[in-house]
Amino acid sequence: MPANRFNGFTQYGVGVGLRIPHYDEILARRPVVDWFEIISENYMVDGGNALATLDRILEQYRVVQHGVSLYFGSAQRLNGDHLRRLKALTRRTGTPWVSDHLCWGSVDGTYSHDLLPLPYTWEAVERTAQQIRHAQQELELPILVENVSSYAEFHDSEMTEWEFLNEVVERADCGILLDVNNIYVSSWNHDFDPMTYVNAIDPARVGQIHIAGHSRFEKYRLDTHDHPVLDPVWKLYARAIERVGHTATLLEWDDRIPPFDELHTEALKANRWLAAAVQSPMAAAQSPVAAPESRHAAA
Amino acid sequence: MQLLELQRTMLAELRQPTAPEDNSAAAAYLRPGRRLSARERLGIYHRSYWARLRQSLAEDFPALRAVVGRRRFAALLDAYLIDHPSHSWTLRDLGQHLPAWLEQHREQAGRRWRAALDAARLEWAYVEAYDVAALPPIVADFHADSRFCLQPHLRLLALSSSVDELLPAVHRDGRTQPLPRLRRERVWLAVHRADDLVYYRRLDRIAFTLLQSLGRGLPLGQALPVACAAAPRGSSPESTADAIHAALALATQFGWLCSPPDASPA
Repeated sequence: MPANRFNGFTQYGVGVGLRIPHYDEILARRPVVDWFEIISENYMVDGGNALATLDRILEQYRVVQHGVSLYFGSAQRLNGDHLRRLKALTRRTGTPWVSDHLCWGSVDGTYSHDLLPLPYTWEAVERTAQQIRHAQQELELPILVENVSSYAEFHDSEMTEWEFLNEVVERADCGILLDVNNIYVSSWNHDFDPMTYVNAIDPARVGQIHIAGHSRFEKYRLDTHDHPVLDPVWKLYARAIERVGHTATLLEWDDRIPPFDELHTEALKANRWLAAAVQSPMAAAQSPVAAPESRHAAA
Repeated sequence: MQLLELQRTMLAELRQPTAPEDNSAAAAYLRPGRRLSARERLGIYHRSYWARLRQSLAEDFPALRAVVGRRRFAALLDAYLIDHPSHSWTLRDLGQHLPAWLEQHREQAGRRWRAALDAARLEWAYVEAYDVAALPPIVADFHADSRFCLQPHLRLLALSSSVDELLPAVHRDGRTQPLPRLRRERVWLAVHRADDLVYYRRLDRIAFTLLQSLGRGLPLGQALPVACAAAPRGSSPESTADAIHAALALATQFGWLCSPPDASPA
């Protein structure tokens, strides 16, 4: 789905996250980058260097906002101050869509600052969809929800993660930011076939894709965003693009950040699959759900 | 378990300083996996919670760490986080209660409590000065009834040590030089932002008192005697007047004086 109502009918290519260590180089050299993704919360301030730098970036680049602490899945209502500041920032950036995570992270006003997993229950479906609808109304912009990496599952869950995601976005009438690295990490941690997940997602709702690296530990995989994208994640990405079509793609790299050119080169590897999608647009979006592959085949 | 109850239970466990592997009811609501028990799974989130909050505070308070030492700093942070978990959507606000908390918990800083408190106050002032709003400064026309508000990013600090000399050293990347030795002395400091960078500027006591009085809303005619009373004993009227002039010139130069919110347009 090259452009859809969930990404504001835009047709963005490969972007990278705007990070402080790259500020000077980007502003001095003005490299050709299709778009930058910013962490909204880093710029929801009243003044200072972050906003001044953002304004200079906006003079030359397209910027998309990605949030980390709206917490659609928290059982209590969204933080009104957060929403107001987020909306003000969207007016500044002109972001065509806003994304945040399918998770919870605060309760009774106390914040974890983590992307905590939800139980996949009907109660959580209803609550999360309700909060997304509310945010979408307040922001007057399409919202994409991103699947998170998870390390725990709940006894109470009544469905799979991909069923949960599909139910939430359907009821909220919002889009999906499909993070294929998160799918891989969660599949390893919870022993499911990641291709089943990718094949189950409604392709018409995917407005953006995240790729990233992760860390391998003996007993689990951790979403650390401090490595190049690993082969099994590229395979999931290839399949996602095959199903969804040419879609705005972003490389996340948040720790041990390499020089800008190295980071951008890694991100641009996505063009290999995006170019193929351009050659046969939409056909892939109609592709049937593939039979599940073994996790080891994907790895 | 209802969603709200589950979230309260889980966050309460994450906020415990001891790892859930040691003491947790996680198995009641989390499934074990093929490789990890329910407690071990919760432990991943527990480590992440504490690491993220500790790291955030460590980045904001490097001078405090330098003053109290690494080990004491780690214990101090944990004690603070138990009393003051984040109540904001942004980690930027996490340290906002640290100076006041440290004032009440001198045992956490040991012998160097006063210097530690100075460091905490200065570093929190830095956080605030970095990104709060800036108002358009006014070119002041000084009359006895002139009222001003101070630039929102300006913070005035009365310190009891030379901790301001420590900050550039601990903020410098790749530091190899030893840290400067702290001296006990009265320091009146302005922390402010210019061209999107935060600066520290030492003031004399007259300038500090004058700005503080203006910031409290006193008209200039009432702020001046308060500032003059802060002059060192034995100061001549001429030297006090010079200090007042210098203070107002400095405030004008850095754009620290703004129209108060209730001021009618000229």
